[in-house]
Amino acid sequence: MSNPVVIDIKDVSKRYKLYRNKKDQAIEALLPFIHRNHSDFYAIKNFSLTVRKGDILGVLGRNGSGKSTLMKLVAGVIQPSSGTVKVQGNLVPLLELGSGFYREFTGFENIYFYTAVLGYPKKKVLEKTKEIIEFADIGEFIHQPLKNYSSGMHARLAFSVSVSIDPDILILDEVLSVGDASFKQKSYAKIREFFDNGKTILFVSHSMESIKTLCNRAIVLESGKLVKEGTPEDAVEFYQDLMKLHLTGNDNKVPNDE
Amino acid sequence: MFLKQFFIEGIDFIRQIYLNRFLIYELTKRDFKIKYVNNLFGLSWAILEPLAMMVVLWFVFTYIQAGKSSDVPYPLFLLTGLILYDFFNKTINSASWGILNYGFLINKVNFRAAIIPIVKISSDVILHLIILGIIAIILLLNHVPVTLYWFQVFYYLFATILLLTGISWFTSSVSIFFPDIHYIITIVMRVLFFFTPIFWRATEVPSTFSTFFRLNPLYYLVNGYRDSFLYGIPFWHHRTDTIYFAGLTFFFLIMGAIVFKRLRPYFAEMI
Repeated sequence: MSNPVVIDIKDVSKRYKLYRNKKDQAIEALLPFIHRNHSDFYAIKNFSLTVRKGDILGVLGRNGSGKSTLMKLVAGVIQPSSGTVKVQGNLVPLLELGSGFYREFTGFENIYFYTAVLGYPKKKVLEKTKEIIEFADIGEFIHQPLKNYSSGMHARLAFSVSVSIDPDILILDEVLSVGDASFKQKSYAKIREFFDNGKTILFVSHSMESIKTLCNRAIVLESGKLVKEGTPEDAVEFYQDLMKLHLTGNDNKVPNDE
Repeated sequence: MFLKQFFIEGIDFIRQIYLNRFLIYELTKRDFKIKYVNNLFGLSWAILEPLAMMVVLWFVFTYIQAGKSSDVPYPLFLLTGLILYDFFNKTINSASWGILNYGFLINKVNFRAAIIPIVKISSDVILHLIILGIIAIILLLNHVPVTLYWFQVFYYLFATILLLTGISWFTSSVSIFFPDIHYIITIVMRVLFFFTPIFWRATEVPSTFSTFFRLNPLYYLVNGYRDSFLYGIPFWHHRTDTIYFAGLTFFFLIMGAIVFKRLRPYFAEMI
């Protein structure tokens, strides 16, 4: 537990102001002292969490519970409305499928495109090209434009590129769920390798089995709040109870943590 | 104090861009490719399109204007001004759409989005350089003497790029909230086509209106292209215009940088 903190989320809220039109939003963004009518929606509310180096953190939650918003906040794609998000080390976000890839380019070209955007010079990536292609294992499709890819191929390439540049922190937001069994096995092995090397991974998944086998910690989100934090087994159990509650129609009751 | 704060903010913003020059280079290469990747004949269309336009205008105006002030052949006069306007018009449009075009990245990766308008401009500059080469050949074929002043176009091109950068930081970020700005740009550029000495000569303007016309920054740039290619006049002969243009460009750069920086946090949510 003495590992250094690599992600420090302090009392973060992400409020979306729902405006009636875009003009009001632009005016408020440019001139903070003018207020226009809007209603608020909190995708993340008063959220605090620390992730330490070497954590493989499972993230559970129903659709719309704020998982992806949280990941985007950590990735720095969106800014918190209040609170702070501090990230130490270089981070590669795989937010949903096809993140940061250009559909008209071939898989091969996308390797350089994506890594350039992440700030890796081409020279560094060149030596890893072979490894990336081998790991993705999509055959001749590597020279086809991305728009011709199946979602599985897409995930293979994206995952392969992301792990090859060896980030300190990796965000996997539902990326592996479309992969087939053999690729899953391969990528799980890779994740374990990351774990052994003391890397940090945020692993968003609906597969409770994967969370139990891969992660060493897990959290559950509900309505933008952290409702459970603990071992993967505890979190999964809590999440299952939560799901049961929703299925029986008691939508408003969130089970108590204690 | 308020102004000073803004000023520092703007300068720091521009410094950050400079630190990202490697990514600008990589993205420009790709942006240039993206534009032509879907066409069988690729780049040739991009060159043919302005050339076709020039031929039409050349044809039309040569017959209308035939015989008028004959210091320089009219078609050459027209071409040297038109290429600058054409470049400006095309680039301000593509750069203003830049942020929306790159939405697929802004949504998913945290990177310095302010380089996108610069990437768009740079990729248009590549094409413009090719067209400049073609123009040089046309001038040579028409026995226009080659002088050192020809290289002065690069000064005016650089000035154009700086002005475009400032304007497009503003337009590209504001367009996320206010897409109508694209229509405004179209209208302004159409008006400017007639208010810029492209097919008419600056010397034909009555001196009472002259100051009014010179407020248009394109006036300075179009005349500059001609001074370089045809008349051999150095830019420091237009001292007032140069200072005015530099001031205007500086204003747009700082203003564009500040507006862009203010709106940047909302991009991912809005696209």
